[in-house]
Amino acid sequence: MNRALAAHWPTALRLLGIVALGVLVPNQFGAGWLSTLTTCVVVSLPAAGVGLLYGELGLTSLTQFAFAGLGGWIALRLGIGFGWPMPLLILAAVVVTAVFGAILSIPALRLRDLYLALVTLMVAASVNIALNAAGFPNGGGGFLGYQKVGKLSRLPRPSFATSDAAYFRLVLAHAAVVFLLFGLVKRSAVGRAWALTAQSEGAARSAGVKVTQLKVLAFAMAAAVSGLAGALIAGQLGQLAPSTFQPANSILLFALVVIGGARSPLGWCLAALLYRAAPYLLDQWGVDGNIATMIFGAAVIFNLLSAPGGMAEQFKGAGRKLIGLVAGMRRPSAPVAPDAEGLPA
Amino acid sequence: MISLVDLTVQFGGVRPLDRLSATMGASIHGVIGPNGAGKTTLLNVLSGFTPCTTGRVVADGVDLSDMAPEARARWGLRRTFQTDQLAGWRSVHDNVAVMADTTLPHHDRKRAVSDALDFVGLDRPERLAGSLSVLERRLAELARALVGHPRLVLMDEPASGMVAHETDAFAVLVRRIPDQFGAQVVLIEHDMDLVTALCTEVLVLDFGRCLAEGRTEVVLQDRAVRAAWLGEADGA
Repeated sequence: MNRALAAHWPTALRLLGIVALGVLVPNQFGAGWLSTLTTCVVVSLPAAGVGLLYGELGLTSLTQFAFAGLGGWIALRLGIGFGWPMPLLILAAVVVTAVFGAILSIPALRLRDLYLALVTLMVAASVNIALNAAGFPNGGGGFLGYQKVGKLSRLPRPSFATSDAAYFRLVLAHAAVVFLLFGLVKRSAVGRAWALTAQSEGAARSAGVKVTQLKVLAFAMAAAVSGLAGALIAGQLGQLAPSTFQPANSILLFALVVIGGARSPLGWCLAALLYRAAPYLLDQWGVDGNIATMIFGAAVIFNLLSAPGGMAEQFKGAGRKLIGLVAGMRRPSAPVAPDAEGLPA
Repeated sequence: MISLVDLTVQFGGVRPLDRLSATMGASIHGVIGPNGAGKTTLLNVLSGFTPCTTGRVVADGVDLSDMAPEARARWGLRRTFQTDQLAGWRSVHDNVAVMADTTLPHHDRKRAVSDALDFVGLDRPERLAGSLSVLERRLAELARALVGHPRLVLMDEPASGMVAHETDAFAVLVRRIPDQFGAQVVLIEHDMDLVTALCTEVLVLDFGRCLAEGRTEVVLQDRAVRAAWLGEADGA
């Protein structure tokens, strides 16, 4: 019983942390930072998608913001055009982007590494061109719902989350559910099969793993969370611009997830903070926010050389050392426990 | 019992297997031959990764020729690789459990994984696979191959990278597989000590053909076999 409880305390701690964020952030930060941090939580969703594809399956996909743009377009179109409520908008964005993700995975099934990155980059560029041409729905007529002149409509926030604080909590709750789901899937048979597939497709197939289905599933999941992010950001801002969803942003986010740590939810959060909060912080200090991109470039190189597990892994290692030190101080005569890496017996 | 019937594999102008017909019936059957003889191609044909141009593979009366690798795994075909294939960032348990996930009903999985780990003698399955020694990695891969109901276990040079006492420990386990799991073992190996210690019968390949087959001690005295073998030694 005690052991069962002990196994759940990290989950309980994380849940507590999320609740604390939901309470503290809106109280402690002003409007500018609250809006920035809301965007960070939204961006942690496509970051989780990158983490899923790259961390679990070793696949380099650069379509995260393209699918976010698609999700945002769907939310604006249905929300402004037909007045659908937010939950339905989210559902529609998730379902449609998941289907598009699954379709994209078909040419991607046989590709890896640089080739996959190039193909997905071209898809991202195509989506961006389409968004530029079509424009985001703003109350116009026709299928596209776009108008150049006239009274521009905005997507209203849901009645239960009109304030910035409430919307932050809404976004946080969605991210928590996605992170929880991803964690469960990673620990399930699907996650184990993904890991072996990333190691070697041959080994996975000869272990009976249906590689194709599992890759399609991963692409659909990654696209769906991006679509969710798009719908959430449409709700946050009320209106969207194609420049938010440039392919370059997907490349940057990919690099940041590698820096943060692709296999760890902490890494996805760090990536999102670096993506949005770091440039904002620099702006607050009166430094050009674009300098962050230069720092990120150096960080990628540092990361590849010295910390392939990303910052999350380094933080965790430091945390373990700290706990070990404290435990050692409390029980000086206790034998040294094997570390998490586990030395061979 | 495996029957290879008139197997040919053709890649452009190259024929790694050339009308190979043989029967492998020993409970631990060896496949030996100089480099480039077609051993690994044969293993890839058996496990379904390389389609054969002509011919058939029949194991325990079942024609495997048209089955995909995934289907062969569910039938009971298992293989290990020349370089062990473990996801280093996942636990030993997770690496082994993949086979249970795909081949066993839900309620049998936990038991099957712990049985296989017990058999190979790997404790602390929560360890990361990347932290294991060479022998332990081989053992983990062997455990994965033995989960479920293996009928045929193919091993591609399992002793490579191991030192002598590790090879001995590994051989003790392999010898117990046929009785304990009811599976036939096919061993592709360059380490002749291991082959003579484990395999009662061997198939000798050379240029994709069967050079000799039969009882190990008889075959290894065969003049043609020794010539092919020494020829490789000269060239090395």
